[in-house]
Amino acid sequence: MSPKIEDGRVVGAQTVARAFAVLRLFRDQGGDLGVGAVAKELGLNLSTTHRIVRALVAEGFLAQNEDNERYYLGTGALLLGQAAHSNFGLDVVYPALQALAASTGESVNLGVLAGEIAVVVERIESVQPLRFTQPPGTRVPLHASSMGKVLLAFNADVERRTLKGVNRLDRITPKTHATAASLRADLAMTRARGWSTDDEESSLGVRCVAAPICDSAGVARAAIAVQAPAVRMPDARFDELGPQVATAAKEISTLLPPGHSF
Amino acid sequence: MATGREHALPSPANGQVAGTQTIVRALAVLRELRDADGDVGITEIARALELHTSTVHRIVKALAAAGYVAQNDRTERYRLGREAFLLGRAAERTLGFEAAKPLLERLAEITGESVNLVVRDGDEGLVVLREESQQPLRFTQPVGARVPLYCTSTGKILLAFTEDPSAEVTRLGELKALTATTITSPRELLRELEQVKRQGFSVNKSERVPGVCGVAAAVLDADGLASAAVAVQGPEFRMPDERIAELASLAMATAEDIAAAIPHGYHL
Repeated sequence: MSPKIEDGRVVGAQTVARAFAVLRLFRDQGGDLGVGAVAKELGLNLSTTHRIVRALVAEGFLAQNEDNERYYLGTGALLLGQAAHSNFGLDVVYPALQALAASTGESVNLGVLAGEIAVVVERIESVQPLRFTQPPGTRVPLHASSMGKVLLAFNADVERRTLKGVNRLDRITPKTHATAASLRADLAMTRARGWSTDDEESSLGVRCVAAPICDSAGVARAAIAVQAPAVRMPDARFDELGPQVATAAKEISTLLPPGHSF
Repeated sequence: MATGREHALPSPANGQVAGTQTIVRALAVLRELRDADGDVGITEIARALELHTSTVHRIVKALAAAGYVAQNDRTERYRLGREAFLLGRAAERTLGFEAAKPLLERLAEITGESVNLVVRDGDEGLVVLREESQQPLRFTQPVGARVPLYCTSTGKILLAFTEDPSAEVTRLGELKALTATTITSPRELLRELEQVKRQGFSVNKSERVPGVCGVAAAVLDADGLASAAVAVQGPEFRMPDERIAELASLAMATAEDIAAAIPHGYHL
């Protein structure tokens, strides 16, 4: 029988949070990191960092580069991600994204709500030489992206949280909605037609169309977007792609297991 | 569920510091969710890991706050969340798997058969990437599947391209016959591994699953040791002897390209 020992409640939760902060650093960094660099970046002391890194290495989440003794994300992280992929229902969803990418010839994104922002989780890139690139893990603001705007339009809680008491919005490009009032008008239109647009509001030269993926209660939890260089997306194409994206999003909504909301 | 899981969790005696134990437990919870087929409840996790429900509750809460697990609104059970997925994607990129994927796709397309990338995990091979044949009759093996080393084409590569294949074979102990053609004699296996090393590829002729053939090549690190194996797998009748040489050279070319995509000093 394994002995049960009392966890330091506070200490434990903090350590878990720190371990994830370490993983997150590796995730965003994309290269090798030494313990010193990790400690410095996260403001932890060296021995704590050493301990956390050792625990992550023991489970295969990190591995050590034999050449420079720094660390990188290991196969444990990889396998977890692959399990999450099917857990999520993404393996069912992927063909629907592929079909949308094939029929539009443009890049397609699947994003999920993560607190105050949307995160790109799956991505199929256009094969055209001029294309918009936005790798999985990219965080996009809700008020300045097509995915974000359907998440606001079709999720009242999120809209309230994001816009309550807010007047001015962060301007990312000259075309970003500058005020909550102007964004609200856009959201009302989005709700009415079932899809949103992004008219160079987050990146100059990029226009997008998005539709919500809703749970059984009709609340948006995720979104898909078709993204194209503005030169290939005149206004008329918004109207053509909108219904197409909305149909694909509905199909994906029905593919997800009941209760799953990403 | 699994018995003997308790040794997956280091006992407090060797858990160096109080804090590390919580990390180990949190990662063990993630592993339970990873290996589960569907959503999992707190009680099941607690039972599998021999932990108090309240402890698991606390860990799962912390994991949920970090986005690593998500709760099914209906059943209140848990599954892996978006951060787990994104972490995997990042690992795919840094490990060079993202670059390897199109290479495997191409190999699958040229050969018309299923293609696997397998790494060693202890005394087993672990399927980490997979491209499935488009043919109705095809060999299917999901990512995350574990395969024995002595009776698979990838396993033979992972045994042959090591420092000491003879010691590897000894370590495996008894070689259980899974089919009529499984190599069960350690001496014969070692001879085969020597040949694999000489010719640069391995073959599995229905040695694990009747009717399934595999041809594999080594993804070599800087020391000439296998860090992974690439295999083309299909039904035996589509992989006759006269096709082996062609499949082997295609697998070897792909393995070489993959080796170039994996950052120097990395171990898969």
